[in-house]
Amino acid sequence: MTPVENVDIITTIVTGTLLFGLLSVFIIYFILLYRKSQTKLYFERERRKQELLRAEVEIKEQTLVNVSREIHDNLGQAAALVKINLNLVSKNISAEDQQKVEESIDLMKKLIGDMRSLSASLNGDTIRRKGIVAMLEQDVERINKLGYVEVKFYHPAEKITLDADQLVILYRMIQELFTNTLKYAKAKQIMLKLEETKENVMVTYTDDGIGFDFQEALNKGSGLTNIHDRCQLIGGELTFQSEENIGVQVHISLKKSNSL
Amino acid sequence: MPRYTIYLLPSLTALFVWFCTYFELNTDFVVPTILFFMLTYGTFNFRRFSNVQKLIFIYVAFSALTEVFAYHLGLVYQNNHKASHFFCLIQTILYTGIYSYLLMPKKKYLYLLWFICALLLSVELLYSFVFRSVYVFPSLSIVLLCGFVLTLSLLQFRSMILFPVTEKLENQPVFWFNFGTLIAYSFGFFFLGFLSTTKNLPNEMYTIWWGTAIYLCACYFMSLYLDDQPTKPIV
Repeated sequence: MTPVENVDIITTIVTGTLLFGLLSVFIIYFILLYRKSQTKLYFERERRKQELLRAEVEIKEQTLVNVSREIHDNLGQAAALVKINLNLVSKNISAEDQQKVEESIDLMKKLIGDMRSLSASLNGDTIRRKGIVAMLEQDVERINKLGYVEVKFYHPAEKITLDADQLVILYRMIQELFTNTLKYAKAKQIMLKLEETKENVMVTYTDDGIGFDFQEALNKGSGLTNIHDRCQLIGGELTFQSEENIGVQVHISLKKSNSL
Repeated sequence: MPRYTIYLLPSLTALFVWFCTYFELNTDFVVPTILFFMLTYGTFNFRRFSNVQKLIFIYVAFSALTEVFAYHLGLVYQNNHKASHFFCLIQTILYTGIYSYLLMPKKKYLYLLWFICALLLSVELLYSFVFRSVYVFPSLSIVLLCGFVLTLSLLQFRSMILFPVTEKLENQPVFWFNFGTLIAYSFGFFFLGFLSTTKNLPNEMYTIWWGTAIYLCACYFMSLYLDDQPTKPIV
């Protein structure tokens, strides 16, 4: 091989190696850049999702406030008027009819009481004012009165301190859990435990119902999705444990410092 | 087939070919085998392909046709460069078509892209029939084509960074298509550039060029295969 040929070969090899080196660097750099822009996209999507969720929650809350006001102002007033009329009527009738009217008056009193409590539980402002424990106590009492299921509620003696929006959303999540158990679980007992530490508020919810497959239920888009999304919105951690015929255990852990 | 095994397919194929060449084993069957697989797979799944993948499949079909055509010319006339001239023209049109789908440029850039394609075709035709002969290897046409395709490939990489999708990179057909194109055409560009300045290229260079061509085929196969698969987003 002549020296010229030798130089040609060396130049080719060096340049070829450089080319492949450059290509490798380019590809690695591209992959890193692409991952970075994918992460950016992911966070952007998450942010939009959160905003959408927040708007959705606000709209739902506003609707609930409207329904609550309607129950309190219109239905409540009408029921109160019926009660007054029944009181008036009861004075001028026979003893036999009087007993029936008094029964009706008692029923009306109960109806008005239930409506007030329902109206209060639907209104976010009441939840903020009274606190989550008082509201849940009302709900537990109402569910226990139904007689289908027994609810045991354990909570700290002091009022739980949480950001106002977190409080409402957490309360709605627990309401959703109650609804799910009453609708589908065929449970006999529910245990709800509320705990508070310096930094966290923890909720443990257990029922002894028929249980369900969490992933399947989540895909179906049931109330579970609502709970899951709301928990994400307030920066909470949600864990579900469920086995067929054993029941469900839900654990929600919420950091106090998070705010919407 | 698990995805992680198929990711290695292009590299394994190229390594296999280089291994065979090193031990002077016959590797004539590799290209026809890959093309046969791609044609069979593409024919059965053609309807399910996206428009870009349909064009890629047409490209593969033309490659196969050119191979047969070149083989026939070699047998009959002992010179198969006519096939290279023909395939160079086809490649110019198909790559413009594929990248006009992938890059989705604004109208004025789309016109510009097709204008460059027309210009390139004219140069290639003039080169083939006026300045040189169809019986000589069309090195200048291929160098021009390499430059054109490389530019489009780099633009596509830029576009991918600017407009990312949630799917994993290794599961994206466009990544494999672009990756194969970048590797094969940059080496082609480099190889032909050297060929024009020196005739003393080591034999290994020819092997590597051939290897990158096979790598290109394998990457296109990946692209066709992944286009048919369900998407798997990140996280």
